[in-house]
Amino acid sequence: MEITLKVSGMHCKSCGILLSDAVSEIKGVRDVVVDFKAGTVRFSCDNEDAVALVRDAIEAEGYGVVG
Amino acid sequence: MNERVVRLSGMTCGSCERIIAREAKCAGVEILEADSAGGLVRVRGEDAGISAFLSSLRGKGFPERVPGSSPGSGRGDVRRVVAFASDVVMGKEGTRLESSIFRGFLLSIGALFAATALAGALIPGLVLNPDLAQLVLLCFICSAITIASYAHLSAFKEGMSCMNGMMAGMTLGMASGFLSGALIGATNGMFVGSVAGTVFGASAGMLAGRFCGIMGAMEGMMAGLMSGTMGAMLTVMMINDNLMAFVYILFGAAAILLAGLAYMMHRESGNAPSGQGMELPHMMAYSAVFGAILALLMLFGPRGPVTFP
Repeated sequence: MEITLKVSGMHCKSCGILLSDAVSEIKGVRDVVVDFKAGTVRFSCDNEDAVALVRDAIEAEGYGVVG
Repeated sequence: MNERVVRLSGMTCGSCERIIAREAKCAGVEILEADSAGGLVRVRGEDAGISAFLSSLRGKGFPERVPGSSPGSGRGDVRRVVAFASDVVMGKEGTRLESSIFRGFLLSIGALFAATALAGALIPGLVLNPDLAQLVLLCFICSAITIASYAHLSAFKEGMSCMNGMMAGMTLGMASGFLSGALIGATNGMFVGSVAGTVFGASAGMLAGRFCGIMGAMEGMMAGLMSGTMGAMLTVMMINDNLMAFVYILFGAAAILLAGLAYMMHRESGNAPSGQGMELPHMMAYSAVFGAILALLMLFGPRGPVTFP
């Protein structure tokens, strides 16, 4: 399934790289696309557990998941 | 174990420092100090680890600066600025984008001046006194220079850093707000001048600043709001002083600042990622519309041209 999360706190290209790296490291998550201007993180995964892990990873980096 | 100071390009904020820290950890290198403002990182590790660290940073968009050839070298050297200006005018390789925008700027001004001369010949009874005629022509220069600067910035919009975006929004918002506020204020008084200056300045600043996100847009709007009122206020206060001389000084200063902004973008970002910027016909059309609105407002605004009745 393809998921798009709305993320707060991203303001530049480096924020995008940082989140892209953090999310890409999670097992079962693939095709990660971060758009810092739109404030979105899009990825594909197979189950809801991976989505929860992505949310945790984003928050661990200091950003907020708002939707 | 070796210790080394590395100079990196593209390092501008706290997030950049965190990316660098992450890559250092992966390569087994210890970061002793990281300074995003100066682009400096002091590292300790084995030679192989430091090489792997630098290689991974290149892949992330932070290449090491080589003295004499990197974007950061030669800062403050006036000869480089003069050489850049010369390359732009001559249309040399490496400044193609800037050269095409410079040509577009000259063409826009030429077309607007020609249209004004034609209007003067075709419309019976349209006679402007010399000072007012100069202000109308300066309207077109204000329009063309704002659009040219925006066109240049739009070519760098992909991946524009926060710092560059805020600088771009602030400079363009400030310059366009000041110029338009001064011109409209000189002919229509403080209220109309302030409103027009803040609308034009804040719009230009917001559009230029948004390339790096909401912070740049807000910075641009803030600069436009401030400069629009200041431009109008200064020209109204100088109506009985050397107003025309001041307006020319203001335009000269704005032109130097916007040229400096173009130089900064070129030096910081190298070749524009999106390549071309705005197409020439679009640039001319936007300049014409913006210039016409300013000129009409100046001539037929609520308080008319009050300076030179």
